[in-house]
Amino acid sequence: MDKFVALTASGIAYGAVLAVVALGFLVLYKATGVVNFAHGDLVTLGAYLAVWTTTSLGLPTVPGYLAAIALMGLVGVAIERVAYAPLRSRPPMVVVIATLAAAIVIRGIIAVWQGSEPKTLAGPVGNRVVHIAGAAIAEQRLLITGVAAVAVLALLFVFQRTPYGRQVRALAADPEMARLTGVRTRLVAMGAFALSAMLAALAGILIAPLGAVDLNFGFGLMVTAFAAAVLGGFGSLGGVVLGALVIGLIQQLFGGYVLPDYAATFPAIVLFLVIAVRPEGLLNLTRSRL
Amino acid sequence: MIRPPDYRRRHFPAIAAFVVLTAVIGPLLSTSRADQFLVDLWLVYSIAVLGFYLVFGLAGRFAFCQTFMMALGGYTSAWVTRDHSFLLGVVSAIVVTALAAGLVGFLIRKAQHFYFAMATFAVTQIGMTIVGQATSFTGPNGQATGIAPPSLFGHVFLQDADIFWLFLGVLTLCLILVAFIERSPLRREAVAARENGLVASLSGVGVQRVQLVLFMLGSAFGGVSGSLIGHWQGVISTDSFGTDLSIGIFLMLLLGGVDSIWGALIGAAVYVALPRLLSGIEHYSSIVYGVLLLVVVLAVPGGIAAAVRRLPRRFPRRFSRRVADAEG
Amino acid sequence: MRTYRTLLAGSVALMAVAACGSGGAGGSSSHAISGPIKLVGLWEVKGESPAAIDDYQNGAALAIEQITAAGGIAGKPVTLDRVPLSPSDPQKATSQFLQGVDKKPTMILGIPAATSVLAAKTQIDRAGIPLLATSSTTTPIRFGGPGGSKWLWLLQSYDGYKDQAAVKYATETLKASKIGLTGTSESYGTTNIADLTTALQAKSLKPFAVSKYAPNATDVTPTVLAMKGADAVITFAYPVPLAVQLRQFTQNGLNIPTIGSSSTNIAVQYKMVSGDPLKNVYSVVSCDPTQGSQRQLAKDFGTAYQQKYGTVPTDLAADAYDAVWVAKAAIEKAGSTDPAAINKAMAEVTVTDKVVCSDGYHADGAHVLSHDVSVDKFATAGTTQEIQKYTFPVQDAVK
Repeated sequence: MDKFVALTASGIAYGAVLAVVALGFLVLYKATGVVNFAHGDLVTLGAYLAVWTTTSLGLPTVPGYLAAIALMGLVGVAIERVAYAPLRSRPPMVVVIATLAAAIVIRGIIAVWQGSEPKTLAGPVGNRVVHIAGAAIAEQRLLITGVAAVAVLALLFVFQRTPYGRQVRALAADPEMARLTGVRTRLVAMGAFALSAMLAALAGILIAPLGAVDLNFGFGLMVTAFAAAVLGGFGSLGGVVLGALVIGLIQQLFGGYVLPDYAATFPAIVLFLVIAVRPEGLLNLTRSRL
Repeated sequence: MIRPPDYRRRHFPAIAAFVVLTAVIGPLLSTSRADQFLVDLWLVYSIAVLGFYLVFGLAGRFAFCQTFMMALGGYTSAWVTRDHSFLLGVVSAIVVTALAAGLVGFLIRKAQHFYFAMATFAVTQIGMTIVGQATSFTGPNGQATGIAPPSLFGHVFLQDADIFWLFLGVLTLCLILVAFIERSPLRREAVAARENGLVASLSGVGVQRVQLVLFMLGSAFGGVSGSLIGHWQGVISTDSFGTDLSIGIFLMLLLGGVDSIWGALIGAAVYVALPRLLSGIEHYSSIVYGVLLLVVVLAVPGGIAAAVRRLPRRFPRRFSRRVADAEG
Repeated sequence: MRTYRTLLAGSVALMAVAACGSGGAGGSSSHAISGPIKLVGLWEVKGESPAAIDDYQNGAALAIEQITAAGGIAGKPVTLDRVPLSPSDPQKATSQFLQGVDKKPTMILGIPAATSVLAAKTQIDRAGIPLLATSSTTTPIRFGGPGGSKWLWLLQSYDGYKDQAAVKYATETLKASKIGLTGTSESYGTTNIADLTTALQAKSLKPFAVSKYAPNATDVTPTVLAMKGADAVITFAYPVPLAVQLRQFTQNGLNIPTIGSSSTNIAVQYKMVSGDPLKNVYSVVSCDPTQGSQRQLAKDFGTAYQQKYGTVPTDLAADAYDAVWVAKAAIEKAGSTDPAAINKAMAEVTVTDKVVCSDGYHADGAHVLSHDVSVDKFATAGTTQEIQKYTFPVQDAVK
């Protein structure tokens, strides 16, 4: 029982981080149609910025984190200006390649700036654990789940209840029509880049204290988050969150109980089967956007 | 997207020119062991990227499993050649990778764009893990050692300078095959299916069939490439076909140019040569890569091949106009 | 093809001559030590790839500095060229090895990953320059194995011995019988888990549990829970997930003695893990070059290294340092820069002068130079104490 609880808890925490990564990726996709291959490296950059604010600048953990997230907002805007704005009229493929180039450049800049040895990020709760039903669960994991849940709810609120959210939804549904009806595409795009980068940073900062940060840190997360987004059908926010949790739980529970050597492949198997059976994703509620 | 017939008819002379040029320049470039190795690596990667061109450039299917197909080809061939000849090893690599691609392609025949990419990525992940864990044939983590060097008609290819001729020969065969496709209705159908699947299928193109055939063919190219790499180096492991290379193959085609068979060769050359050219500033190599990619995308969306192709067209026109001006 | 071959036979032959110049077994008179001696180190420094470290270059540079101060090798000046070698891409690594060969060095040192050594096997055969590898000594790259070569020498003691040392320490000193095995799911982890299982079988034991995780894992809860109930855990993993594993043991309230590899020392040095999770942690390493060592030469090296670079050396730095001293001894014994003569000397020379990680390096039939394995114990402050040293028998060439 305690094993089940511990595995479930870590699966949920992992799924929560995946959800934040996937949402950041999806916000941008919805607002601009860009599949951003640099998202994983933004996760990495966010974690490195947090390492920098908390160690080099000596800020306490939480203000340091917030500073890093704010900085990442600026990075998002910068990327929009440099790698996206000049390409607005180009075919989508060109934009995708530009994001790939941005990913490579970001990674190179981090390597030159921070060196290549792994860094650690101090968490606000240290190594403390709580005991639930006999299972020891790191407080960091509870923190991850809580913060991620708040972020998702805030995002839902932004998209359902604010003018900005309505504009993004309009762009997602029909870009041409939205433009004609006066949606300020550029501002919305800039905002989406900023928001997406900040979500990436949040995800990086949440999960970094569990392990260590290196240059490949975000890439694996991004790929798994892609899988979560596909499971959710690129549709509703809820679908993506559900997809992320399913993947997190599958990986931990199957890995813990059956065939641990193959744990890393379970999300891949599920993903493949879903695409084979439902080529448009599991929860594609026909055209439901955000 | 359909090119004028005069361009398409020049395939075979172009291939002949390429082969002669490479045969002359290749050995001259290879003044050192490292350079000889890189020239060989360029040829063998070109085969895999050419396959990826068929899948991605022509059929528009973003397959993220070309490195897995290379690994599959490499292992198949390594296994077969324990008891049989090199030639049979390569042939079985072709058959096995084509069948594997056929199965995968059939299962996800309806998946589009990003979904197809994710599904093939999943295939790579699953396949590589199985290879890494299945230690009965391979060593730990998929290390297959002691693979016999390539041998044809009694000649064993041992030195890199020797291997060069083998690889150039195989690449030439692949180029000729691709040229046939380029000149066949298959290309027309594939382009139609890529540009607008619905319209294409309404006008009688078997969209799924065309895409499946090209996926199988392209994957078989990957299988050949992987098989050659294995026999050349005597050793393969899952590390030989890792994430770096799977992104690398994508980069090679993008840099070179997605809509020409020469893009694959040019891109592979740039990819292989760049680390060598950047030696001394490795720290900045990924920044250089990224900026180069960005510049290519912005300045010449069709890749380096398109830029090269545009030159002669522009040049004679200007030249002839000037001549006309002078005369008039 | 044949036409081309005839046409180009001339240029190919020319090129072959040029390329073989460095590898030919020329007369030793023309190779007698005359000019400066060039060593090439194949390793990265920080920034050249994810997880690249300076330790190898630092260790080797320190040795060169000391050798130069003492008058060079056989009275001749010595230089150290470096070619970065990719730890992850075997094709790239092979081309980088060949770049090292192109510099026509007297000897080549380095290559941190055994998989890269294995991938470059055929090129090592053909290069004809002695290569003293500082990678871990895995089963296939020993002489006579599928990845071994006449020109390849292996500085570190055999991985199987490190596994045996870990099992020996766990069973004899820690008195454990329920031993769990964990590691990363790539060659390093899987190879050693296989060897550890064999070593356990030799003691008529079975692993209590075996669990692997991805090299980029940030959560190893399934592994940690699988180890519940074990008396000891032996771990061969990359530093990052290893640090995660150690921390998660503590978080789950488990205090099982854990024996790791030199990854543990790296994880501790880069502060990926510190404090409580280091209680009850050991590592099997080729040596401990810190003040915790039992060997005076190791302590001296540790002091000099700390003075020059401001950090405590890892055993990887000590390996690179030792490699330079072994190269010096072999070149001086050969009395020549002829590769064949040096290669012959590599088989015969015994090196005790200055070296840190072994009481005496001497190649056995499998081309392995060291037979010593140390067991380190960690303090929560991150310092180590060498608490046990095993010396294993020499091996014959692998059949």
